[in-house]
Amino acid sequence: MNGAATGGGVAEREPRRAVWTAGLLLALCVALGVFCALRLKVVSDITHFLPDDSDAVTARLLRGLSSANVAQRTVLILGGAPADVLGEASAHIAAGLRAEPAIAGVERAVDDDAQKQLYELYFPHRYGLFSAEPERDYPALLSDAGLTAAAGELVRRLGSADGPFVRKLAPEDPLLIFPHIVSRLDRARRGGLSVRDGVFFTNDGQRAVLFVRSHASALDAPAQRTVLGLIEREVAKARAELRASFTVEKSGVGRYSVHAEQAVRADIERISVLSTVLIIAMVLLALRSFRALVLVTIPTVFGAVFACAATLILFGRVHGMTLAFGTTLLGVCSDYPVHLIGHHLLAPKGQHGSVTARAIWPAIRLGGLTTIAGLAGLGIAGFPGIRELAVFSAVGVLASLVATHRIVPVALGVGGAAAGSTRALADWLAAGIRAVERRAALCWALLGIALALCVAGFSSLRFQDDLAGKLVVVAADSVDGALAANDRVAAALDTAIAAGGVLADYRGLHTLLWAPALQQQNLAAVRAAPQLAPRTLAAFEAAGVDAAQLEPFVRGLASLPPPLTLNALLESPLSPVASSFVLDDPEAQHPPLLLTHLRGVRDPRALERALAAIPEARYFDQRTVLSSTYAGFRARAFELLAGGLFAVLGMVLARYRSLRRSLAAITPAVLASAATLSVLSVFGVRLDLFHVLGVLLVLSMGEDYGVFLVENDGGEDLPATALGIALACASTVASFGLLALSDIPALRSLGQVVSIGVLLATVFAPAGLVLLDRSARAARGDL
Amino acid sequence: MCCSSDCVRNRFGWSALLALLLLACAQPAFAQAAPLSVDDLLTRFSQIQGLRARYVEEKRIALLKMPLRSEGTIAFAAPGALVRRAEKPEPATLLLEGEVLWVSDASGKRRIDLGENAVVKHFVLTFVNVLRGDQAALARAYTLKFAVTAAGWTLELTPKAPELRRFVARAVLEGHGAIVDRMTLTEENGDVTLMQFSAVDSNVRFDAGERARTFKLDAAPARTARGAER
Repeated sequence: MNGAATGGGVAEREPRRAVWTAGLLLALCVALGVFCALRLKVVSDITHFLPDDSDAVTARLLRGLSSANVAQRTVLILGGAPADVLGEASAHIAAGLRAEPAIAGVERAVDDDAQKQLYELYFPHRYGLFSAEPERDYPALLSDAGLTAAAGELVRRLGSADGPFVRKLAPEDPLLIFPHIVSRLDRARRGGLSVRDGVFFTNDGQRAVLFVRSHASALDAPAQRTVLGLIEREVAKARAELRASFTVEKSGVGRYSVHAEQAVRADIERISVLSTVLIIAMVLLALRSFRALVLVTIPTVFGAVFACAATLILFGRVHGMTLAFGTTLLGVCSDYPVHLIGHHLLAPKGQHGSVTARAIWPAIRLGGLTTIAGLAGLGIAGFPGIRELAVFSAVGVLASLVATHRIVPVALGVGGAAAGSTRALADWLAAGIRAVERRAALCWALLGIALALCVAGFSSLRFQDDLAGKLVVVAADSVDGALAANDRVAAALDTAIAAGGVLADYRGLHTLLWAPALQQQNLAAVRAAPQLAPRTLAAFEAAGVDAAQLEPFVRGLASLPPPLTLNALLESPLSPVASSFVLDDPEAQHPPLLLTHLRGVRDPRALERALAAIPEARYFDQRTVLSSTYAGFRARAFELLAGGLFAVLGMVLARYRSLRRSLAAITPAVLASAATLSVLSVFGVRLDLFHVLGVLLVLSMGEDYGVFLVENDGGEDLPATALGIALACASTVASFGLLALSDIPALRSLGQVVSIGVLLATVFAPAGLVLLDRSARAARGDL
Repeated sequence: MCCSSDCVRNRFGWSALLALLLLACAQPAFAQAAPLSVDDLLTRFSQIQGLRARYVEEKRIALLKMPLRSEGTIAFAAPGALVRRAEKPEPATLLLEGEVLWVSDASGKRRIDLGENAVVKHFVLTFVNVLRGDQAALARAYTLKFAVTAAGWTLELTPKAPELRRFVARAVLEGHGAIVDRMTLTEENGDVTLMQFSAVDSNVRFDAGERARTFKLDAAPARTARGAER
């Protein structure tokens, strides 16, 4: 940094070329800004942050679940008005929403056509869908005794409440196999709803229920916000048209997705405004210069625009997480112009900006490049989302370095213009650093405290990788195989329920469809029954039935139809129900996964044991799997951080060719990061992956502080360096400290780590200087 | 195929329900004098607060060589609680609560949402309108034909709506004074249900406890080997 003095004092005219370069870079930034504004596509699919190498079934499941039919459904519950008003409101809202392209469908009532189609779908296939244990049940039904009992049952049912229904069916289905199937379907379909005037109501009959399905994934927050906006508009219209007031409750993944995004957005906006005000106040107070304020923002904006453009070009879109955390990481970029401007304001009077820039460029460059190396390390993470974050941040830091080097100096004006208060502050800070540096015992004590904190805290580190449903997933090589395994799953679950203490209930595809093989077994059992038609007619005749009217039954036995297929089911009116149990492979390379939703799981281990004999099936606890996925993510992130640190050390070594100088530069940041995690851990904070991302930021910034001090080693401009570091630290602690107060756990985690970490890194940075070769400096009289 | 989707829609026991509702609205306690018109009859029906009666039902079903007979009790409490308890040939309970019909018989307990079926719903509402004496609403759905006979009177209801006509050809109430003695329901396919009522007490005032005991679903009876008495 001594160079600042060597070139100073003489105001040079900035070469025209530098001005042109700055102008061109600004023009490029504006062009890319326009490109970003026109092409910006933000996605918020959480699965983007799943590991590439996660087990194939898990990855397909997690990706599929985020876009599954159930998750895409928003449930509207209308209440607070008479039932007829709610029914009408339900009709108004449904009609309005169905007209919207964003809405895939609205289910609000029993559809007469659907009942007709239900009959048409299942009645021809009734023999194949009679029993899950056809070898046991068909012989019992089709024996002479069984037929006699069936005839008695028919006669009884003809006189019962559902007699008219039975009378219509009996000539073709005297064994009442179809009503048996309908009962099974009814149990599966109801799901806690009642029906009034054909409209879905809650079981207490007080509130109308609508299911709104969107085309977009429930986790696509912007799309879900549109859907919620449409719902609110139609609710308002219904209230106005009916001149009625009624309440609306909404539930569904999409709603929470929107709520989460809105909460994050609101927090970020609130904190951004506050922290911006704080930072502006700090810069103005410390530097007393509006020009400085403008110049500080240029590299950060430059970095954000280039980062966004690069991400759009490479990936075609920007993930919301990338945008949120990437721009936060780019906060480091403001440290470079702060450092430059601080030096320039405190430079000899009249010194041109380019001279100041040349003098401190090696420090800024090293700080920036080591930050890029640390961030780039994340690029090899097996998480597409993290790769994107790495590209975003690395490009952003690089672009801001370029802006700091090529644009800011052109506009710095003449140096040495610092206000008296700025000079006094800088001198005071420099004196503080020197005071620490001179006291080796204090330096070692600080580093010792940091190490002790690390040791104390790391033993109590607790990680929380929490996200939350319980399912049985069937993955097989063929659709038929999957359906067969799914049937075995249902049998195993039935056994587990009957045993008690394992689970309460389940809902799955088995209720709607059985494997072709099982249907064929049913059909084979019917065909195997000897003399079935004449024996049936005789048994029914004996029970008082006019057997001559059973001719359709006899004709049906002669031409049993093939099994019902999954495709036929998914094309039927039952598709909305069926598709919540089927996850198609978007690339059509694998048969679909079949899901069985479990309720009231009390003994997961017993459940796993019950499923052990079915290799295609696995018990899937979303909480456990997602948690282990994110634990893997966190562990991998730590590994990559460690790798990045080695890369940083290598770069610093390459510059200084001295292990002591290199360690002096990076040790404070490493200790500060580790100590921060330890401090949080000692205070009982459970660490998550956002804390780990925060550590990355602490390392990036803290290591820059170390580099700046080491670069300055023995130089005259320590006050300028101290001012730059103090200002960078104060603005970071202020903004991230506010983030630590957020209600959103992710933001809070990030805020906690960065505010504490950067503060510690700043305190430890001077102590790191003790690692330098002090004898040479003592000889020079610096110490 | 003899059955269409209609049989799915129409599996709710509306004929039994119809009989129940007709009976409920046709047993005034106070008036023995013969009604002179539909208006007069409906006015008397609408004032029923509660009733109990015994019934004998005979179903003549084309599919069966002999009629099905059953007997038991019914109870009604205004504005819309109804229960029918069959005693022979086997126990069965049919309970109407609002728009939900509960059935408990040898097949078990089951819930039937009347609202799931527009035809049945329409049908039931029609007879709620009878209870309310709402002739205008009745006239929209049925052609009403009232006649005074030597034995008393008859009221014939013929559905106007085509979808209803596909199931019910007509219902005929026969009574004397303001009491229904008999109800005949003729279905579109020719099946006939005939109900005879006796021991009618249409001046019942259910207190809360009695109401709770009466209008409840009994436990499903055990299945018997013999389905029905013929």
